[in-house]
Amino acid sequence: MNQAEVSQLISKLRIRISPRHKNLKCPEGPQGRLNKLRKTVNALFKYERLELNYTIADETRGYAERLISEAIRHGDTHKPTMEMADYWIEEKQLIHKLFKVLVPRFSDYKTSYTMLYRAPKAYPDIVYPRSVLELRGNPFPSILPQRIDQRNFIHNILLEEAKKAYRAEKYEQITKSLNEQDVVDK
Amino acid sequence: MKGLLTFKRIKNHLTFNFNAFCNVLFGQMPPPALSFANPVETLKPSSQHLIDVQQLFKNSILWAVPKHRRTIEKRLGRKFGYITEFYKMLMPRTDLFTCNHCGHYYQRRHLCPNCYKRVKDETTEFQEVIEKELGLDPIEQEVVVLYKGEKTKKPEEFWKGKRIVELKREKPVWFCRNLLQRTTIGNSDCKDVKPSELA
Amino acid sequence: MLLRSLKLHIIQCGFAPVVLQVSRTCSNMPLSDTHQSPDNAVSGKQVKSERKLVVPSNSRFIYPEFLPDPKMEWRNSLREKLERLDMIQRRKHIDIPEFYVGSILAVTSSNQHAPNKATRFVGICIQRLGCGLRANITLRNVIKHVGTEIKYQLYDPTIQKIEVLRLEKRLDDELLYLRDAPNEYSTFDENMEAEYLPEGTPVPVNTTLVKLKPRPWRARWERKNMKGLADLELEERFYKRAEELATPWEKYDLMKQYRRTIPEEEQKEIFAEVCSELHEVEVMRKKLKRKKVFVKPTRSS
Repeated sequence: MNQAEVSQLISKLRIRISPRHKNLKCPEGPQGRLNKLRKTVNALFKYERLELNYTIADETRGYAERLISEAIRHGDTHKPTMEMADYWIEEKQLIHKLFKVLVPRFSDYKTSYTMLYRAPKAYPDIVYPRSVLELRGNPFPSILPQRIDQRNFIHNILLEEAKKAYRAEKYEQITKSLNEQDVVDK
Repeated sequence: MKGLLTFKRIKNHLTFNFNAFCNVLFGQMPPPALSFANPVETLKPSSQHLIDVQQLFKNSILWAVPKHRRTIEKRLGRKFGYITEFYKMLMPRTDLFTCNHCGHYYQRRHLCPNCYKRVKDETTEFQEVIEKELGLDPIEQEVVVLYKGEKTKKPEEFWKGKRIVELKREKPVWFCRNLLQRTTIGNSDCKDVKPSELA
Repeated sequence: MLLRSLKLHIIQCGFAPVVLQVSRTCSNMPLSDTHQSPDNAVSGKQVKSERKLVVPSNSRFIYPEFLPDPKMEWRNSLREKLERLDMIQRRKHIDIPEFYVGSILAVTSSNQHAPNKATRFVGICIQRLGCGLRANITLRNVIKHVGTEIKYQLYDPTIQKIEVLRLEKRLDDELLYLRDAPNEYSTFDENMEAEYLPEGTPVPVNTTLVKLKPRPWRARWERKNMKGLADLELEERFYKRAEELATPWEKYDLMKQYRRTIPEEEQKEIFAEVCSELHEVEVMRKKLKRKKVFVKPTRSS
C-alpha cells in the first residue's frame, strides 16, 4: 500500500511494461545492470537498429522510450532532463542527436517510438531467444514486408483467369443450345 | 514354508544375537530381566558377535523397498511426462507457417528468417556506409540512405533538412531482370491454347 | 412540476428532512446544468459558462489518496472507480482538508467511553500512507512528557472532524526522525487555535532543521538523506559506511521511477472523473461557512 509519487509528472509510455524489472545477471549488481542498459541505449540511438537477446532488448526499450519522452516533454533547457541525458548517453554527439533529430521526429507520434520484433531462432541450436530492436522512422529498409494485395499472387491470378474462361465456355454452350432449340421449335 | 523358515531364522538370529548385542553393550551376560524366554546357548564374547550384528542388518531388516503401490496416475506421469510441465511424447508443432513473400517457413510471431536475412544484410551495409561518411560528428539532421538513381526521382525540396548518404549500388529487386520483362502486351487473340479440364 | 408534486407528497407523508434534501438537490441543479460532461474537462477545453470545469493542476497534491497504488499487480480499474465514488460520498459528510506532512492537525474521533462521546487529538502529521479508502495519517504530539502517535484512517466513519490548525510543509516527506529528536520538536498545544492563511497563498515551507538526541536511534538517519536534519555529529565511520551502502544510480533509474508513479494522462483521467463533484462539495462547504446559523428563539418568562 503505497502512495504514488506526485513530485514529478511523467508521460505515459505506449509500450507494454512488466510489473517487475529483469535483473540481467550482472556481477556488479544493480549498478552493473544499469551500465549494461546504458550501453545498449547508446547503441540503439547510434545505430537505430540492433539485434540482441530478447530480455535485454525488452528492458532497454523501456529506458529508451522514457528518455525520449522526457526529452520531448521538457526539451533542451530543462536541467534535470539534461542531467539524465548526460548520465544515460555516453557519447556526447548522441545527445545532440537525441534533442535535434529524435525529438522533432517523434514529437507528433501517437504510437511508441521503438519497435521490438522476435528474431528467427537458430534451429536446431539451443540459444537465448533473439530479437530486433529499432527506432521508428529509421533510414533502413523496413523489417516487416509491405502488405501486398493477395489478388496479385500468381495462383490467384491464374485461378481468376481460369474461372473467366470456364464461365465464357459455359455461356457459349448455353447460347448454342438455346439457338438449336429455337431452330427445332421453328 | 519359506516364510516360516525365514521367520524362524529371524527369531533365532534375534535371540542368538540379542545376547551378543547385550554383551557388546554391557560387556557381560544380559541382565536377567532382559533375557528371552528360552535362553539359547550363551556364547563367550568374541569378534564374531560384531559380524553377527552386521548379518542382522544385512539379512533380517529390509531396506530400500517400496512401502506402497505406485498408482496408475503416478506411473503414467513418470512414463509420459506432464502436459503442463514437460511432456515426453512428441507433439506436432502448430506454430510454423509459410511466409507469403518468400515461401520459407517461419515461427508464429517471429520474423521470417529468409526475409529478415535480406533486410539484415542491407541494414549492415547501410550502417557501414553511414559510419564511414558521418564518423564522429554530431548528427543534427535526419539521415537518409539512397541508392544510385533515387536522388533525382524526388524534387530538391524533398531532401531539404536531411543528410543524404549515397550507396553506389542500384536498388535490389525481388525478381531477376528477366522475369520483370513484360511478356504480354495485352489480351491475345490466339485461340490455340485453352484452359482444359476445368471443374 | 414533477418535483413540486413530489414535495407535496413527501410533506403529506411527514418526512420533513427528506424535503430538505430534495430542495438542496433542486438548488444544485443549476450548478450541474452549467457543468458540461467530463469529456470536456479531459480535453482541457474551457467551458463557456461562469463555472469553469478545468481540472486544477495541483489536484495530485490536495487529493493524493485518489491516485491508485502504482503497483501493477494490485491495480483494478473497477475497484478504483468504486473506491473513488465512496471517497466522494464520505467527503460530502466530513471535510477532509488539504494538508501535508508537517502540518498540525486536530482530529475528533468518536469514543464511547469519553464524556462527550468524542476525543480530540492534536498533533503534527509525520506520515501519510495508503491510497483510496485506506489512506491514513500518523499524528504525533508529546502529552505529559510522553511522546504519543496516533494513526488515523482518513475515511474512517468514526472520525467526526479533521481540522488543520497550521498548514505548512516541511523539507521531508516523512518526519519519523522526530521520534529520535528531543520533545520540544514534537510538542504542540492542545488548545492551539487554527492559524489562518489567506486564500491563494502558496503553502509555506518550514525550514527548521531538527537536532537529534545522541545515538541510539530508531533508524540510521545518516543513510537516509533527510534534508530536515541538522548536522548529525557522528564519527567518520558512520558516514563512510553510509557512502558504501548508498545507491546513487537509483535516481537515474528511469523505469523504477516510472513504476512508482501514475503517469500524467491517467492522473488527468482520474481527476476529471472526480473533480466536478469535489468542486461541488467545496463550494457547498464555503457556502455553509458563510451562512449565518439560525438560532431558534426561546421563550423568556
